[in-house]
Amino acid sequence: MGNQLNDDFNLFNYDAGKFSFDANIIIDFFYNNYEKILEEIFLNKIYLSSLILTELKAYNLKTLNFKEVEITTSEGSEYFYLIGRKFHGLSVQDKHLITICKFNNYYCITNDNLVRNVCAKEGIKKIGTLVILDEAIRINLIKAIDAVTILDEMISNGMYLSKKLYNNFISKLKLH
Amino acid sequence: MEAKNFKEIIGNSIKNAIKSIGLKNEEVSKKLNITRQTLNNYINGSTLIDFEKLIQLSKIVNRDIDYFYRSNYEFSNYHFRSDTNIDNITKIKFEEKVRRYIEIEEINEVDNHPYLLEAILDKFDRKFIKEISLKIRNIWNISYDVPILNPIYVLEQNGIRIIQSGAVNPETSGFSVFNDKYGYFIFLNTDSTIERQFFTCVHELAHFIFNKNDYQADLKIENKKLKEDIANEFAGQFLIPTQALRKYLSEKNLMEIDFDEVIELKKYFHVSALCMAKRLWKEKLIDDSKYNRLRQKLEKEIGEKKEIDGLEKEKYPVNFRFNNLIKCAFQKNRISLSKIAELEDITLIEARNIVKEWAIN
Repeated sequence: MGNQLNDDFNLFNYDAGKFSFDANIIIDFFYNNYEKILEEIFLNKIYLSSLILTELKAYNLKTLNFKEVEITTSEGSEYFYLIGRKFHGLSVQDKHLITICKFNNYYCITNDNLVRNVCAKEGIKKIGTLVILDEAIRINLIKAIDAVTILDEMISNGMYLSKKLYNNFISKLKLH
Repeated sequence: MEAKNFKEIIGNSIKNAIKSIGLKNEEVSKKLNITRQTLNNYINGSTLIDFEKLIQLSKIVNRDIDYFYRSNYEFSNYHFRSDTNIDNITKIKFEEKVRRYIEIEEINEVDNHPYLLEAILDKFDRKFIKEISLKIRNIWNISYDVPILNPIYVLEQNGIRIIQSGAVNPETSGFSVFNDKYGYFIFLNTDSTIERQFFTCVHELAHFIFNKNDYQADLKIENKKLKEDIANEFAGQFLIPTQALRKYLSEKNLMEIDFDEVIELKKYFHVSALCMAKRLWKEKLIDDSKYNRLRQKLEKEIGEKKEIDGLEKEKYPVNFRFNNLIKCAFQKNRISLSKIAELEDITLIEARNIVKEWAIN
């Protein structure tokens, strides 16, 4: 998952930010009925890749206020091609998400190790679930103890998080 | 990269994809709601197709988006060999699976140069079916007097890639393909019994050995019946060598062979009861009348999808090597979770469950 605790991000300072999610994070929040957190934090700032939406077709995203985004330029199309040549382990959806973030200056919201590494190399801002939960605590949307419950539920329902990162996050919560 | 080359790669892929699905440009342009001229411009590389149109096109021609972004020559350069008609959908599905197989090998930095049987065998004469079957066992370090518990695993260990999947045509138990750059691939229909899949993979191995010249584009296969008989003979010899058969009979003191003994033996050698009966007859361990009687009885009770005391499918996970390569790449952070879903052709939720199981185990 990469070290999300080092994500240099403070939503307070990025009110003008725009955010594009990978499908896994949306699944984590929707599957566990915590979509309200995403809605509250990212109100009117969510831009979803058209291909990510196809991965999410089993979910009713009506409650989530988002705009669908497509690669619209030939430069974007070529970048999609080049990023695939450079990083063979990315899926079509990953490349689409990265291209959209790169060309629109969106934050890429992902927990995936490889995608996060590529974002770092390509100069794309990135954040993950831990930062979202941290922010939810900061703006009093949830309590620190709720964050642990939410994280545990997400992990038991298929979210992958290394033990080390989990423990670091729990230790950090005690500071709140 | 020059923009022109990039457009040309996509243009060529569009052309090949339309051709492989058997559609006309006019039909495709109508479906895409564009003029024929616009489609021609995409194909000849003078205009780059919009991403949105590309997504639509990928659905029309049954290809993933990535297909259009690569030079497909080396992947399309397949030489199929099959005893039954391979429908277009199975062919396209197979080509995609081969490409994914090569892709995951490259991601894992596995040497994927073609394994050539010519390099290990000095004779391909069909007079030497038995000798060649033993020689391959010898080269692959398999003793002559033991059963092969999983021939799929053995072939994959020795450079022949196996792809297991369902087929549209239920009569297709399997087929094989040779690609100049990547070597041998065998397709096995997972709807068949495990015993049938085991036999088919060795049968296809025989075609690589004895009928290499059949792996040419659009070639009409001559002497089909004879070639099939030879491949079946080879598979029988390879899976049930004389030494192994006689050793088992002697150790178990099986003098009189009838139905129950055939079942006992087929379970030992991991082959179908029919295959077992035929080998016993070929070895003259049962006479013509007994063989015919056993065959009639067995043919009533078994088929492509049914076997007496059959091997359990749950104990033989499909695409074992391919799946292991995926696991290995993910654990080394070389592929994303979404890539697992793409390579395995499963949903993201299914991919997440797989990763969860890996974490537990």
